[in-house]
Amino acid sequence: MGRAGGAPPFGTGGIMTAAAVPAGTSGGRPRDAARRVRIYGWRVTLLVAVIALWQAASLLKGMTFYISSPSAIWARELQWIADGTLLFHTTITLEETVAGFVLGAVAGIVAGFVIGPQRDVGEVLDPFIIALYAIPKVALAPLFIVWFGIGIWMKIILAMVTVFFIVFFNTVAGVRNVDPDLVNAVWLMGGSAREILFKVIVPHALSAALTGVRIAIPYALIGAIVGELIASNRGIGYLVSSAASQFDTAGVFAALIVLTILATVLNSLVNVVDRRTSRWKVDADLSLRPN
Amino acid sequence: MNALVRIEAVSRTFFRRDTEQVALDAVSLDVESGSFVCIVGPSGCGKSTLLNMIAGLIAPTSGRITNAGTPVTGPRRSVGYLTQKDTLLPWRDVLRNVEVPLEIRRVPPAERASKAHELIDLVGLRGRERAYPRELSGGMARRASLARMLIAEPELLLLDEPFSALDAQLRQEMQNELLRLWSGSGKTVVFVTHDLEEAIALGDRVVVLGERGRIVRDEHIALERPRDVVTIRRRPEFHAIEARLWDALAAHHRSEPAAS
Repeated sequence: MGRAGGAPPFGTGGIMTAAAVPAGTSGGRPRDAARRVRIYGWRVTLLVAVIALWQAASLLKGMTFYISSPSAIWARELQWIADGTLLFHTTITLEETVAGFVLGAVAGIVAGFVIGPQRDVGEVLDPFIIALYAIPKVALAPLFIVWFGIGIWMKIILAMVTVFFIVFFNTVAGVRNVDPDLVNAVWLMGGSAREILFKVIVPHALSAALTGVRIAIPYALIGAIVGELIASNRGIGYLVSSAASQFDTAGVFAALIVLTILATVLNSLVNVVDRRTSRWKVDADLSLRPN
Repeated sequence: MNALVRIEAVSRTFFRRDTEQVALDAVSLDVESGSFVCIVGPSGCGKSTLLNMIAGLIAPTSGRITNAGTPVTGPRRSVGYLTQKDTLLPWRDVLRNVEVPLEIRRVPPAERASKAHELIDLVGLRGRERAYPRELSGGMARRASLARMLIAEPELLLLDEPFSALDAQLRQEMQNELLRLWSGSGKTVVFVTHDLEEAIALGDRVVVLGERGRIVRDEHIALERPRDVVTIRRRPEFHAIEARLWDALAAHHRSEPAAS
């Protein structure tokens, strides 16, 4: 938590970066803007080239079976949008992801705050929790089918379990790694145990928990999709697997593209959470990751 | 003279790998109310232990410490404590950090904020109220810590090498700042350092500790106030005092070669 001895007032990634343009980088916005345009230009070029190559390759005999073609995939997307298939399945997957994420995150934070401060309880539970954490969550899916059926709850629980452990470990670490000097500082001011808890331990642990929450967002989607791939009749994962089972390559790609967009949106959500907390944070996500 | 802090035959032992180590052995010292007392000594002489006991962070193994006539049993609100390490809460900005002691006293929010602004101005941090600790330089963080300590209006300030992590120039700046804030306040200061020059430049009195907290020399510093820590160092009296204290430390080390 220590700030390096003579750290400059303008730290990296602080709020002042807009005002403090680093002197070394060739100063001047026009050049930055030109560079940005160039980068975007190359990105578009690359995308167009890949699609063109793909389209060309699909013209080869028998290739459409394996790689479909961009035009066929595009047609499929339009068809799914028109008949409501896309909205229906995306909604299902989003519901599972969000529900699993919220339940897992809340459970992880609560459990972390309950178990974190109790060192003995934590030590007793430690090997069991590590063992549970080590199980590939995918392998639990068949069990969850037995317990919860193949409905939406199975996917929610799978997403929840995945999210839970990430958030839980971060919260426990946050509760335990509180800097004793900060605790002493508040104690020396005459702060009671209650004040130490609410002014030092809880904020510190919450920031660690938030780091876990941030990391866990994409994992919620993974949990939901895996659940759908294994047993389902709806959701994007279902779209992928049902198209594949009918050797409908265009359908598989069309569903994967929807999934890619969804994952990208969720990842940008992560960045929003990041920016909100990064102002006072120093490498918290490096030191508090579950290990 | 009226002693605010009275240390009577205080000893403190620690156990390290099952061996008993004596950090302090029967130390007695009175700190007069309103005075600026510097405690100097080599590392391991027990000076921080002594300060921690005055603060009530740790208890003496034997002996007695009283503060304004009452035995010290734990931290109390009339005492301000500043360590070498910054202990600002990283998730609070400067303003909210400075407010912490008043929150603990249940001071209403509006009063808290106006008092905090006042102290932030006093330590020269105006305009940085909304900065987070990681956005502050070492000197600014020290100033914020000073403001946080002073907002509680402690009558006794305990400072444990507060400026030793700063570079030389900044250290002198902060020393002058401390003298400015202290002068005329009537507050009592116990300032622990390993820097003899710092001790002489700041203190009314310099207590030199040797092994296990033995008081090697207790010198009244007859330099005028207000002082400037930079120019006072050029005075011949300053050098004379420094030489005397060095000799005392050296003589002590010769007579007691590296115990433990």
